[in-house]
Amino acid sequence: MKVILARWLLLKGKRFKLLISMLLPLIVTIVITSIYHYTSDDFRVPVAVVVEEDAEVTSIIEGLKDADYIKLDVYDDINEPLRNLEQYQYDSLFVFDADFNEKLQNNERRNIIESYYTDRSFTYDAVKELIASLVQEEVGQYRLSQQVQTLQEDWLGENNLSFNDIVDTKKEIEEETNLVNQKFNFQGQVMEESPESSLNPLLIYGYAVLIFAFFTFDFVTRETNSETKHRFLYLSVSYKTFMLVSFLSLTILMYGFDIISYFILMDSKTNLLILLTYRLVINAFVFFTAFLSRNILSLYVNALLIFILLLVTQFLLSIIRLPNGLTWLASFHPVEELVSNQHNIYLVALVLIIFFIWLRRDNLVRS
Amino acid sequence: MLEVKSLSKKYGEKTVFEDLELSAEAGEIIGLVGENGAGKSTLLKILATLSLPSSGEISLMNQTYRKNEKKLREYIAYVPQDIALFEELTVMENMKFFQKLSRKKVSKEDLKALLSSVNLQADQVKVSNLSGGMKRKLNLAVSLISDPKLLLLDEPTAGIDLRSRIEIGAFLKKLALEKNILIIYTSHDMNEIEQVCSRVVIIGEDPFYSKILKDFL
Amino acid sequence: MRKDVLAMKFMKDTGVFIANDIKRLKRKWLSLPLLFILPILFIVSLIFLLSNLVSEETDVDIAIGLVNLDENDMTKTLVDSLSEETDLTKGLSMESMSIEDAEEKIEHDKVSAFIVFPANFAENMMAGKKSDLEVTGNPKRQFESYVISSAVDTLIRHIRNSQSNILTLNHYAKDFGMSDEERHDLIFKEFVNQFIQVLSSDTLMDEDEKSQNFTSGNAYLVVNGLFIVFTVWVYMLYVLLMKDTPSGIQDRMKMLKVSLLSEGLGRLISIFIAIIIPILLVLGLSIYMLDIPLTLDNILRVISLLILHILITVVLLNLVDWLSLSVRISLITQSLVILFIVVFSGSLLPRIYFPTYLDKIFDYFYGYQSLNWLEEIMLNGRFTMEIDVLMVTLVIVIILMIIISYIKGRRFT
Repeated sequence: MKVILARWLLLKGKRFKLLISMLLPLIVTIVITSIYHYTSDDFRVPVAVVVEEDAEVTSIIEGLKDADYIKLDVYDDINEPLRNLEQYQYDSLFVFDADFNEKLQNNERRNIIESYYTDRSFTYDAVKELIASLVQEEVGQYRLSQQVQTLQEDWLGENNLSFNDIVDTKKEIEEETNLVNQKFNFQGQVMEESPESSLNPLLIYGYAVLIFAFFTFDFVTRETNSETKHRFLYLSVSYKTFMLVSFLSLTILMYGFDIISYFILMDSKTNLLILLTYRLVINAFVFFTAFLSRNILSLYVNALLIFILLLVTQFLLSIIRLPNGLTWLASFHPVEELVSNQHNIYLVALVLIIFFIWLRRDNLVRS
Repeated sequence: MLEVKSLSKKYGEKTVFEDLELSAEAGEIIGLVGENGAGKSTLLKILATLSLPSSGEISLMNQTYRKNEKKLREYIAYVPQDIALFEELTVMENMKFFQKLSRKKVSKEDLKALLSSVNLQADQVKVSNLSGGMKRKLNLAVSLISDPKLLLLDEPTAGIDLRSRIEIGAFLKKLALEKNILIIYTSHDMNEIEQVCSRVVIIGEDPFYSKILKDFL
Repeated sequence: MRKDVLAMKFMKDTGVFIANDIKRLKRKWLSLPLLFILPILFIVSLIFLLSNLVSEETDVDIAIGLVNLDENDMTKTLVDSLSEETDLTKGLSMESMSIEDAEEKIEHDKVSAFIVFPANFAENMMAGKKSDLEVTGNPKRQFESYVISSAVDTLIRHIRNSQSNILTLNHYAKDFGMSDEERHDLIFKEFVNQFIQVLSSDTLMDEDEKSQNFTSGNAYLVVNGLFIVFTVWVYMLYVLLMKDTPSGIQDRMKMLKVSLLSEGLGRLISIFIAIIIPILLVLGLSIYMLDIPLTLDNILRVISLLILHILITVVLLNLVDWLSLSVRISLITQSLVILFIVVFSGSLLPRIYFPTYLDKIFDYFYGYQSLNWLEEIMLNGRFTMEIDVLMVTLVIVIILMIIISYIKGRRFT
């Protein structure tokens, strides 16, 4: 207890800065996810469409305009948009020529649309898919109306339903029916909607925790490299014990903030315990880095390097599939574990071992 | 109280000192003099258990260093040459910090008394704002919180004003007398040695020192 | 002091700082290679990965399980047709399996997701009752889940389309007096037909690739990647050279009338010296490996773009340093500056994808001009460049540097 009080004496003067650095992960996460949500919809893929005269493609154009990731420009002549495409001003270009509708009605299925893309188009496939499905709808409607008209002929001997009548009926039925949908879950969890490429707040929070932990624990560097360390030899508590207790009490304090953040930021698919074990691992990691750094500046430089390293490896891990024998490697990346909802078990074990070894070694280097 | 027998310290090929013999009783104030590099600070560090000798035996209060190092630390206090204080805390906060973690129970009044005995009144001032002399006094006061039997000081008055120097010297004399403490310290100031020490030990080969001492004392 | 004496002194002081900085860098010889290699590693892997995405070739398809709990023939046909490689399922490898198998495979990370067609799927669908496809994703493959989800979205769109068509057909057929059995048959056939058609919509488009590059698509990624790497190098070097000058040394410097400006200038030059060789090496290597044809004057243009870019970036970092109250704030702000440079130069995401309200920034931002013209020269074979924004920015930041060094120097006297 007195150890905690002694530590408090040292931190008292900086209590506001300490409070802020503990609160910042939450604040930063909220700010970044808000910015993302507010602006990400505005990032759109510029697509050009050429509608030659006579082509009746309003419903397809409407469908494209409805897609909120597309910024659509409609032209009646190909020259200008093609030139722009060549200068990488558009992601892709689609041409509906004059006899497009005719081809549709004749059930032609090959090469009815001209499309252009570049070596830098990365949403060409998605837009192509979308147009294909919109065209399918058109095709389907033509076919449907043909069939209905044929049926009417055959069964009632009448022929008074127009294309538009049939399409209207179809639309009515669509409104009234529960059309097929998808429900997306990750194994072991329950989620409400399918995952958009939304930003996982846990990811941001994880990295924010890492960065600000360096700010919180920078006193370890300062104190370990000062003369006061030697005084502990004559005190009732060893320097290492003092530091360990400081570490634990600060970590517990940070747990309080983590719990608050958990309720504000996360949904039920995240496990609080996983967040807390992550915090422990990160704090330990930062603590030892601070212990081994010779001055504050080199601590921050190390922090930067570690941050970049973790970011890079996480990115690689999320994309490249590790060969079967090496999948356990991923469990050593703390943020990756956090985001995939796994306990950082290996790392916790590692941390405990390191602490154990650290405490056992001689207190000060003696010659 | 303190027995040092055949003490040697070597760093690889280099010998700092060898076959050192020393015997001292409680209440003495021993001055260590010698040229730079002679091993004064090294000896002090060994006596403070901060460093291990290459060979030899030391015993304090009939307990050997080799076997009872941890226990003996309860009776030893070391005042390093560099200021070992928390610069961002005040005088009193520094005292309180080390008091909280000290092996001995010390009350706030005792702390205040300790500070006034070294004539350090400004207890609410941040250490970073203190003068050199006041810092050294605090450096000393903090080491005394544990009520040691052996007090080791490495150049306690280096680079400070005359008044503080005299005050510290007088304080040490009083301390040795009243509390029956053995005090060993290093210094380059002959006047101080003469005023304060009851005995002088010369370390090193330089004949200059033995000559000077003979002339001086 | 006389003006020329002052100038001489200024240059001499700057020289001292440069020598000192180089010496300090030399001492950190261990961290320097790490410093240089780390960003390269990042960019190389990024490029490797992105070129896979862009070029439509993935060496491993995403594995998806199909679980059919419906006895109905229609669903069976549907599921069977999905198992074959189609345009819809390009890049995905779908396989029928039992639900136990599917769950086990997810546990063992053998599939990225599985889709369940629930019992009575077809019946419910035909009756217009709720019938959803349940997709279960592998929590270890969250990135792929987006791809899967959008593939399933497309699948669903097609099913819905077919569904509404055949429901309409059903409606009319009923109206016209067709018997139940005949209707069932009709609808079944119709659904299958439509669906199969949809799956082979590959040839709908007459596709054409257009580009004015005479270099491969990878070159684009490499140029952008190098740009990011060089910018990050500048930052890392700057951080390495940062130091908390103790007040004693600051006092000494004041006594010697050494100006803050000479220190800043010295830092600028040292970083430049330290970084230019690695940059030229890496650039040269990339140009060689990508077979980018560059004439001598274009090489000079590329180098001058890079030089301007580096100079402005270093001065910006320096300004942040001088204006920040503490090391922490300085480092954080500098990181944000570097992030801004990387984002708004268009290196991460090209300008055309940005919202319109952010578009104006690119016109006035030096990072965009430097990257843009690097691309134009190296990838599109242009023989000119515009450096107006760069020059203006350089002049502005240097003026700011002079002003702030003056003010900051004064504050301590």
